[in-house]
Parts: sequence; C-alpha cells; structure tokens
Amino acid sequence: MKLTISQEKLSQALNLVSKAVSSRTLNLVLAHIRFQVTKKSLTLTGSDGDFTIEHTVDTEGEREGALLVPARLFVDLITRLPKKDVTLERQDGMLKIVSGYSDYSINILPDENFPSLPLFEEGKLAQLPAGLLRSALGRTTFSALKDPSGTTSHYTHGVLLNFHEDNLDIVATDGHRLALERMDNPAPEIKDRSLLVPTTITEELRRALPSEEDKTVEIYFLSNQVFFKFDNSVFGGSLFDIKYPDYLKVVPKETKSVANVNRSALREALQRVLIVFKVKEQNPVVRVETSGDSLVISSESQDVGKGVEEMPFTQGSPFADIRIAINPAYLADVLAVVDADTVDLHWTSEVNPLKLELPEKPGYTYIVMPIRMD
Amino acid sequence: MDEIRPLPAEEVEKIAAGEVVERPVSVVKEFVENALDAGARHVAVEVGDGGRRSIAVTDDGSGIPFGELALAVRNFHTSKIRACDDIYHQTTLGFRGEALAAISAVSKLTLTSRRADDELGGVVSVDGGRVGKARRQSLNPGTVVEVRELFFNTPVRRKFLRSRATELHHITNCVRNYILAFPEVAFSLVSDGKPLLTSGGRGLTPDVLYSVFGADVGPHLSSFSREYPPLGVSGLIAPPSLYRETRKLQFFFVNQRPVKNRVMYRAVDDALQEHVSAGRFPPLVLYLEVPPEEVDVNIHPTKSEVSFLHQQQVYSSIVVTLKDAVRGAAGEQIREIKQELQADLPEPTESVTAPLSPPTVAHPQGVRSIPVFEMGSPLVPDGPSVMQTEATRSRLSVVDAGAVVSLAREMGIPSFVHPDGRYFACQLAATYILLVKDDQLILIDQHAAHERVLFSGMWARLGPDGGEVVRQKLMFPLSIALAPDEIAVWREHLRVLEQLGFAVRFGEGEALVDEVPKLLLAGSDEERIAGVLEELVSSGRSAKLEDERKELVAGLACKGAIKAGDVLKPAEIRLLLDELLSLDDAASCPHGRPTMIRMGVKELAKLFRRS
Ligand SMILES: Nc1ncnc2c1ncn2[C@@H]1O[C@H](COP(=O)(O)OP(=O)(O)OP(=O)(O)O)[C@@H](O)[C@H]1O
Ligand SMILES: [Mg+2]
Repeated sequence: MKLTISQEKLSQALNLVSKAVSSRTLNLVLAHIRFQVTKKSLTLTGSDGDFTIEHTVDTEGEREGALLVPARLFVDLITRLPKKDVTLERQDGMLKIVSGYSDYSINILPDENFPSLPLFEEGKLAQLPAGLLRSALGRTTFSALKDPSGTTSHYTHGVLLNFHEDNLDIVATDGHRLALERMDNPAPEIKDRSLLVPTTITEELRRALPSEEDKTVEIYFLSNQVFFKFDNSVFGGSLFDIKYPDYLKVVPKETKSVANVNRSALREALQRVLIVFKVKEQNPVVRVETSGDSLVISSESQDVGKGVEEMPFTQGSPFADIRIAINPAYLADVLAVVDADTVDLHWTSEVNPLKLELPEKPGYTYIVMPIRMD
Repeated sequence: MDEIRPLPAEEVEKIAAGEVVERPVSVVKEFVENALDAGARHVAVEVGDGGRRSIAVTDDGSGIPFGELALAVRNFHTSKIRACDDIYHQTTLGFRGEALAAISAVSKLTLTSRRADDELGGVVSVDGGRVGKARRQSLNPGTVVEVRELFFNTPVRRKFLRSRATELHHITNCVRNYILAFPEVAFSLVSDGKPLLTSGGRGLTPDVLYSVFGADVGPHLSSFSREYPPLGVSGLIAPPSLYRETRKLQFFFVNQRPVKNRVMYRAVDDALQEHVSAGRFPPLVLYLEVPPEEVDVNIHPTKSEVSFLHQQQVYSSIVVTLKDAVRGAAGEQIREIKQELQADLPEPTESVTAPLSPPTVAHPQGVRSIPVFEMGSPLVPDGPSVMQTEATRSRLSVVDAGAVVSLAREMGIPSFVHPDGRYFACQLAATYILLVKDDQLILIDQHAAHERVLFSGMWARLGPDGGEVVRQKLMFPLSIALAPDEIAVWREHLRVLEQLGFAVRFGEGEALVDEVPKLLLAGSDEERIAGVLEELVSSGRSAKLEDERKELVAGLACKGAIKAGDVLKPAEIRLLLDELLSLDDAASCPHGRPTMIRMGVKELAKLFRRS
C-alpha cells in the first residue's frame, strides 16, 4: 500500500472517523483505524464495534492495499505534521510515514476482523437536506442524555426519529425536559416507523453534517441498524430496540397564557441567576412569574444568597399572570441553541409543563417539567 | 393472691392455639397443607375481608370418613403418624394433629368432607372449641374447611389483626409459596369475590411465573438443578441485576415445604456475593431435597423453621449450585463488566500521577528538610502535656513565621503558620496536608477533609428535617410493577410517601410515580427511586430515605470538594483546617474514609523505637 496525500485532507478525515473509536476498548482491533487504498480513493473506517464511521477521500493511490493503524498514535502524529504532503507506505510489516523532515515507522495490524459496514443501500428510508437535519438535531440532541458506559439502553439515551403520517418528528428528552422538532415527512410513503438513535451517534452526526443548502443526507434502515450517508461519509450503528414513551401526551394541549420574551435577554438573565447557585449544586430552582409588564425570575440558594431578574415581555393571547418553578438550566440550555429573536413561553398552571415555542419557527416545541415547592 | 388452679380446658386450647394461629394467613397455611396432604389436585382458597371475616379452602383430595370427622378437630388427632419418631420418616406437611383443633378453638369452623367411595359426605361444626354433632350432607368428593370470625373469642388477638390489605398481602404470599412448592397442583385465590392468583397445575409455566413474580421478573428466570446424593438442589433465579432490597421475592423450600432457614439464606447470599452487594436479593426459588430423617421440621408448631442434621453439606451444595447457576444467568454480562474494570486498572488515576509542584521535584530532599523539624523540635517533648501544649504554642508564635513560609515557598511547598501559633501546616504532593499542632503530627487528605466540611454544612441545611420538600415532576411517570396485594399495601403508605415528596398513583398492576423529592433526583436513576420506594413501603420507615439523602448529599459534597492534585494557597490551607477542626466528626469523610491520620508523641516514639 502506498499513497501520498495532503496533511490537511488526511487529518480532517482521521478526525472524523476517530469519533467512532472508543478510547477504552478490550478489542485491540477496535483501537485501530482501517486504511483502504485504491487507485482512486482512500477510505478510512473507525468503529467501536457498533457505531461506525466510514469516510472516503478522493485521491490517487500509488499502490492498493488495506491495513489497520493504531488510532490514537496515528491521529496524534498526523495532526502535528506540517501542512505538507504526507507519504504513507507499507514496508516490512510497518507503516512508513514520511513528510518533510519527519520519518516514522509504526507497527500496524493486517486488515483482519475489522467490522465492516453491511450492504445497507437496499434499506433506503428517506432523503432530506443535510442542513435541515443538522439544525433539527442541534435543537433537540442536547435534551437527551449520553450513556457514559454505552451499555444501557434507555429512552433518555437516544434521539427519536419518528416518521408518522405527514410528519417526521425528532424528539429528545432526559425525563425532565423534552425537545420536539416537527418537519414534513421527507418520505411520505413511510407512515409509521420510528428509529431511536443513540445520542452518541446523533451527537457526532450533528457535528459532521454539512450546513450547505444543497447537500442531502440519506437515511437507511436495515435490521435494527441505521445509516446516515452524506458527502463521502457514512455513519452507522444499532438502534435502541425499546419503546419510546408517548411524547405527544406530555405536550400541553391548551395554553392559559403566552408571554413573548427576548431570547438573549432571558438567556443572560438565566445565566446570571444560575450563578447564585453553587456551581456544583445539582438541580437549581427558580421561580418564573409575571407581574405587571415584567417577567420576574427569582432564585434563592441557602448556600449563597438570592437574586432577582426582571425584564419586559409582550403579552400574547390568551394571557393571565404566570407563576411556575423550574430548573433554570433547562431553559438556559434551549435558549443557547435556538436561533431566534424572541421566544414564546406557554403556561397552563403551576403543575403543568412550561412550553417554549419559536414564533418564527412553527415546528419546534420545548417542554420543561415544573418543580413544586410547598 | 389467687390460689393455683388448673385452667379450664377451653382456655388451655385458646392459649395453645396462639402458637399455631397468629393471624389469618396461618389458617390458610394449615388448610392448604391439609389439602395437599390429602393428595388434592385442585385447591381453592377464598377469603373475605383479608381473612378477617372468613377463610374457606376447598380441595378434591381423599376426604375424611364420616366417623372420623369429629376426631379430626380434636387436639393431637392425626391420621399421618403413629409415634413421634415417625416424624422423621414422613413426607406429609402436617403431622402434629393440632392445627384443626387449634384453629377451631379460636373461631367458628365448619368441616365438610366426603370420600370418593362414600355416597354421602358429612359436616361438623365447632364453635370456639365446642364440637357439634356430625351430620350427613351431600357433597362432591373432597373437603371444604371454612372458618368465620377468627379470634371472635379472644378479643385482644383480634385487636392485633392488621388492615385488610396487610393480611391479604400475607395470604397472597403464602399461596404464592405453595404454587411454587406444588406446581402440579392447581391453585386459586379469591378475595371478596375477586380472583388474585391462579395456577394451572401444569408446572412452572410462564404464566405461573408471571403471576407469582410479575412482568419484570417472571420472564427472566432461568432454572438450575444439581444432585449431590442424597441431596438435591434446584430452582429458578433471576439475573442479579433484577435484585430487590428485601428477600420478598426469594422462596425457599425443603422437601416441598416453604421454610425459613438461616443456613439456606447464608448459602444463597454467600454464593451471590460476587454479583450483588450485601442487602440486595435477586429473585430466587430454591428447592432443597433432603432425606426426611436428616431434617427436623418440628421446631415450632408452624413448621416453617427447619434445622438440618448436616448443615455444612446443605450449605456447600447450595453455594456450588448457585454459583454455577448465576454464571449461567448473568455470567456473561458480569464477566464483561469485570474485564472492563480490570482493563481500567492499568490506566493510572489522576491522583496518582498528579504532578508534584515543580520546585519540590527539583529538590528531591525538600520534604524531609521542612524547617519545622529545626524549630526547637516540639515533637518529642517530655514535660506534662498541658504545659507542653502551652509551650509549643508560645514557641511556634515566636518563630519567625515569615521566614519559615518564605523558605517553604522557595521550595515550592505551600505552607502556612497560624498567626496565633496554633499550628504549622504545609501541603505535600498537592494532595495531603501535613499539620504540626501541639504535640501531634497530623496528615490530612485534602479531598476527604474538604468533603467532610462541605457535607456537614449541606447536611445541616438539607438534612432529615432541614429544608422544605421540593418535588420534581417527572415527564413520563415511572412505573413500578406491583401485584394487586402489594398495591393495597402501597395505598396505605400513600400519605407518608406524599409527605416525603413523592406523588404516586396506581394503574393496572403498577404504581405510577409522578413526582419525586428533588434531593433524591440526582441522575434520576429510576431503579434507585424504585428501590427506595419499595423499601419505604415494606419497612414503613423512612430510614432508608434518610440514608439515600445522606448518600446524595455526600455525593454533592464530593463533587464540590477540592481534588487531590489541586495546589492550595496558604489561605486556603488555613480555611480548610479551621473549618475541619471545628467539626465534631472531622475524622472521616462522609463516605467513611479517614480524613486524617494522627501521630502523637507515643506513636512517633514507637516508630523510632524509643522505649
Ligand atoms: N383437607 C383434608 N382432607 C383430608 N383429611 C383432612 C383434611 N384436613 C384435615 N384432615 C384430617 O384431619 C386430621 C387433622 O388435621 P390437622 O391439620 O389438625 O392435623 P395434621 O395435619 O395431622 O397435623 P398438623 O397439626 O401438623 O397440621 C389430619 O391428620 C387428616 O387426617
Ligand atoms: Mg394439618
């Protein structure tokens, strides 16, 4: 195997596929990245045994071949090389890396036992603008939890892609707040299919998806595995095979009161209010209420003291005075990721969830469960 | 004082009855055992008002000859043994010949029975021990025993009966036991007209396991079986991850008799110890077959306690069998986790590799030459302790504190001399604090110490009765699968749960938790919430909750505390020490690790072998 490629191209590709390589693995093979060189391309694959990223770079290979390079070492080395051409060559069972004055030979493994992606092309489900999926994931994924061990499947550890009737719903929740992005079903013929994609995958996918208008991402579904194909990349992995709770049931149907608030003013106020809580205390609580033409956010922590934030808001319709206690972090989280000048807070009662909507973007709903203090 | 005189016969019977009949479930147990001894294939149990109003057991067993009806309810009348030694060879559940007599002494009992060969059956009634005349009556082959108004003539006992729900809970558990002990017999339990349990008598089929163990455990049981002639050990076990906080889903049988036995408990716990922590009990059914002559069941009239002739043999055969069984049930999973843990080991932890502050590295001898040892050595004094404490103080205070500290700083050792000369302190390896105070050398783990300081403050505010109850509403209610009898018990605890910050509703075969106390919420681990609730309900106490809260607060303190590897400023050292030393329980962190190691003059003398 022999190939010459620009350092920038190579390290970019390596950075992408290494996202699927888990830092701790018992399987030696999985601590490696697969290199496949053909006359026309270089294909890199990283995998944790399930979650797999494959990326192809168009480049001329001098000699074809495949091998496994140790992921950590190789990525660290390549990213630190000068921005010049790098020549990789297999020599005496080692990989020789030459660039400028640098010359390395590192131990490699033969291309054996590395998980390869199945032939998923027959399971095409839908195709949609990559930017659309990227921003939808950006507004939802943060609400789900990441499973640190990667061993338990729970609905809070994934993001739901629910194709039903005319809609595709993208949903994420950690059990205390929930984000729902509803868009037109890109595959209207699929009336009832839901994919619960592990957060580990959606998180990397969101980062990697291009934001350009004209690019598309294709979604494939094959025997409980999902594949996202875009640009020259494929992201694949197993779905959680568990039931997702009925998320539509928690979205309050009726609203007693709507308040329209400036997003950045609210966000900054919440960030300040959060400071009143000891940084490390979990689950802080604030009261959110309206009084006259101000929205008042007050917090109290016995450890530190108290703080009150007031800001103007616009009454929507219907309107009644709002009063609710919530975890301010949940509200601050969503305000950080949505791109909107103002947000609508929908309130029903102190014991019903608080709902946030974007006046400029109808399909989006965010819900925070209340906290009761008595 | 009254003269000594014999008790009237009926009073004797009432007193003796107390041993056999504690509560309605005891009646159910005796009647079911009699039915099983009579070879019944179907046993139907019906109770009214949790057994407080009525209990009836119908069977299709051998029946009782008309002529023996009245004898059956007499004390020490049995058809099962002839002499005491027979006990050790018999295989029937009953043999003492006292159950019917005892029960009929404290209730209104009707015994109706017909043998298959007889044309007519007969019936006899007993009212508080007074046996009526046996009459002929037509009946299907088999026996019906019915009891009404248990304890009607012992008002004190009647007062001790618990609620309908609690009594029913015990009865349901009892029937569960016999369903498991006699899978080939069809059982049914009906309470106030409502069916609670049924088993088809076709073995431990999935639906039987479902009805005994519920939806979350039933399908996950795997069976095991081993022979160690003459012993046999078999049963069912759930993966250890499905553990409960009590033994309530562990069922033990010796020769088909439900038993309580410490040797068996210990064997099970020891066998599973690798897989579950102490105080956790995976659902389990354990059948032990022992030659009847090697087990004594006649320890107590209820016969649920047994003792073994060869305890050690019983113990080890259970341990060996279960260890294998668990390896089968959850072994794969557990091995993986273990391997993962081992794989983690070689990776050095942060605290171990925490860099020493650079100048200390530059002077490898630095630590040993801390100037404190040159300060007129207060370490091995020989005067009386009070005096010498004073002396130490004054000596420390006259030392040129600035010189000491600046020397230490030059060496890269954060150090601090208390302005009143109360102590000298410096930080070692960015992890420990060395403190010289009075005539002691104290080594402090900075993380553990700070943890203790934070914990004490938080616990005072968030502790058992500090602070309001803040409830977090859950987005999706947490469901806990419960049997109908358990639901009834939970209902009784609703108010306590409510006060603690839980909101619980009940659905079909489940409890739905809508709100949880905010403090309990960390990580919203559903399993943990369920565990706490189960424990709360079964014990009726909130000690567990308090433990949970403590652990939680300890966790918060741990997160907030400075870590090993954090270099401290002198003022921080002082703050930490002043706060720590002001606490009563300063010696250990909330997780129980020591915060400090003290070395007094005696210990030091010992180390240097000064006699
Ligand atoms: N359901 C039944 N079917 C047939 N015979 C019965 C039934 N119930 C009781 N008997 C008869 O009545 C006798 C007395 O029953 P009882 O329960 O009082 O004593 P036991 O079963 O012999 O001993 P124990 O006191 O240990 O239960 C039994 O020995 C049996 O012969
Ligand atoms: Mg009996």
